[in-house]
Amino acid sequence: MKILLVEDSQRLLRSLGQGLKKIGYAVDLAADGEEGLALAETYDYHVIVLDLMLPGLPGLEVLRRLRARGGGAHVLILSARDRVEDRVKGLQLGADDYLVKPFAFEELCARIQALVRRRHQAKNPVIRLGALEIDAARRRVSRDGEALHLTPSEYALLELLAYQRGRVFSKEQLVEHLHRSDSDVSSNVIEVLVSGLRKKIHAHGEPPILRTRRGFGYLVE
Amino acid sequence: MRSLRTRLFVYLIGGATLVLAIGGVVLTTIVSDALQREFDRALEAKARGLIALTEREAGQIEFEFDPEHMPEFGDGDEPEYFELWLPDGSRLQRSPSFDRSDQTRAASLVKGPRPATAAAFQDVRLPDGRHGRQVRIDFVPTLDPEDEQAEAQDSDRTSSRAPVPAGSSPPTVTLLVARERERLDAGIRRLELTFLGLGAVLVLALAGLMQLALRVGLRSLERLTGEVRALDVTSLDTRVTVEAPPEEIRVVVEQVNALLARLEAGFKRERRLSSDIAHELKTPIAELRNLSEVGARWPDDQASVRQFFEDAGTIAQQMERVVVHLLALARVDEGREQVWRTPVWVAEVVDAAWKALTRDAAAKRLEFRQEISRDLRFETDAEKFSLVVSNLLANAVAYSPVGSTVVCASEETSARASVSFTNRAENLEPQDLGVMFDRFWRKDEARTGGRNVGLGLSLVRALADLLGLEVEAQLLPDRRFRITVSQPLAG
Repeated sequence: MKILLVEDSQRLLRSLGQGLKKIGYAVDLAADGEEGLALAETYDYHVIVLDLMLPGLPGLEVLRRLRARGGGAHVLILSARDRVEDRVKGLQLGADDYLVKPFAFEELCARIQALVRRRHQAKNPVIRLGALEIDAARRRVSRDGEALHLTPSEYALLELLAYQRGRVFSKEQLVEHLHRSDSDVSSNVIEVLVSGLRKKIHAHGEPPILRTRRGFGYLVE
Repeated sequence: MRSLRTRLFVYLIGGATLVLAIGGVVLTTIVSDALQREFDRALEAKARGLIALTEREAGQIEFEFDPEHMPEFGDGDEPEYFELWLPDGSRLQRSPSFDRSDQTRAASLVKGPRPATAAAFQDVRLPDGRHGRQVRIDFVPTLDPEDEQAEAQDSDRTSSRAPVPAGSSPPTVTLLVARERERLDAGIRRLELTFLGLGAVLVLALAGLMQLALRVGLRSLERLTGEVRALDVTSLDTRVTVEAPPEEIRVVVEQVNALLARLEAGFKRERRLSSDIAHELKTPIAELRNLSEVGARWPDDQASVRQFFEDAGTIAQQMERVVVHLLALARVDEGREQVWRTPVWVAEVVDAAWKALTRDAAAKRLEFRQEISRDLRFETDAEKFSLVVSNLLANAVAYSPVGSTVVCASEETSARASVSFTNRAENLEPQDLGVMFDRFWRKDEARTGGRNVGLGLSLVRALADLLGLEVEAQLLPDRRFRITVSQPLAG
């Protein structure tokens, strides 16, 4: 899952980016409104975490322009402004959620996950693929009740394919969804990732969950 | 507590009633006295008529009274009375009215001990028991020889005679005439009752008129009261409006509106200050919280954790700066700062302040031109003036573009001495000059970066006010910004 974090506090940007990355999100960082808008218009983000008081272009203006140009990413406003009118204005301009600073990192993660589910029109945080169970709220995967230990990247890949069950993702698409925009990742990385994931989630004698469509890409059926 | 309207009504109606009562009493007294004087004049005229009937003739006093001409002294229903007394105490004549009954026959008028050459009046009880008024006149009968002949021709007259002692001085005769005064008293009572009733009607009419006048006259005040009563802390943006107010109310309306404007501005300032403080602290708290949560969750990432600790230290310094500035402002606001004036050489203060900033200035490749006269001296508090200068220079360094110049210059006139700080300011607009001394104001609303918290210029203004210095901000051509600090020169 790919997230854009637009925040003028470098320290907050750094710590949040670090935390979200360790969870398994691909996080792009922007320190001002103009850079944030440019990134939001260029890439397909699952969630955009947007501060309101930004240098250059204010957060609400970024949101307004994004929505005016048809940007469909879910937006979570992150602001020190806690007045009702600020929240109402943000939501009326097209934000999907509003979180007031200071906040708990866990809460931010939970809200981002809720927005990801909403993006995939899934209300239940638990996805079942046969004997495989993906708990998106706790970011854990189990088979027949036994926990599987996936890396954050493996989990992110599995969650993306599970949410979009039946849809074929090319390697390039997976790179775009699972890695930072400025990262120089080749499609071979995806092959390695898929290979590792298969070993962990497939059981002997059962039909594979993660399939390959030669020449097209990967999908979960 | 009674309303102003009730109070005014009570005072006005009380005053009007008192005036009417005094006026009524005075008028009643005047009219009563006039009626009584008229009554007395008529009584005296009647007495004088009887005196005219009394003559001295041939050593005798003769009184010629005809009851037909003066039937009121007869024995009618409401008779009048007279008695004529000689100097020796004997009665020469009394009116036939005394003969009405045994009671009246036995009675007599009150002569009194005091002789009265002029008419003397007194209230008496008449022989028939009625209240009456009497006049007493002591007089010397006139001498008229011609009357003797007339007496002979008129045999119907009642004539009383009394001898006058030979060789003595002319005798003084006392005449007492009395008539009832009950009708006069009844008239006066009617008059009093009429005045009383009229007064009551007038008081009632005045009360109605006063209520009407007060309602109309105090309408503006009542509207003002209603509008002021409706004001509360949530409606400070409203203004009191009273249509066509009288002068006194107009002044109150203007003052109330001015007060509301000041209150509104004060509330807004306080709200903004609270909001700014909250915001200024919220972001670093959010940073600290996330640093600690992320660091605690992945403690093995030592490079990140080390960076987080460094960030936490920077955040603490930033929060410390906010608190130190706020406390300094609070001390000035509360008047707890003492001023110790000594001669302060401005150039030395500026040099010292710039020295502390050379590292930051070098990082931005700023040039510093110090053009202050070495003789320029302020009589001021050295420590606080240094704080003013260091804040202004720190501001100039923070907001000057890379590679630009900061100029410090001085000017002295006969009236004042001043020092100015000039630097380039790319983003400042004329409207910023009015708000840049507000607490937590920063041109960049995002407040990006933690070094400047937006309290430096507020502190400069507060300290300058405390020290009696004037601070003026100007935007000059070529996007140059200047702050001038002046001290008026004594004498």
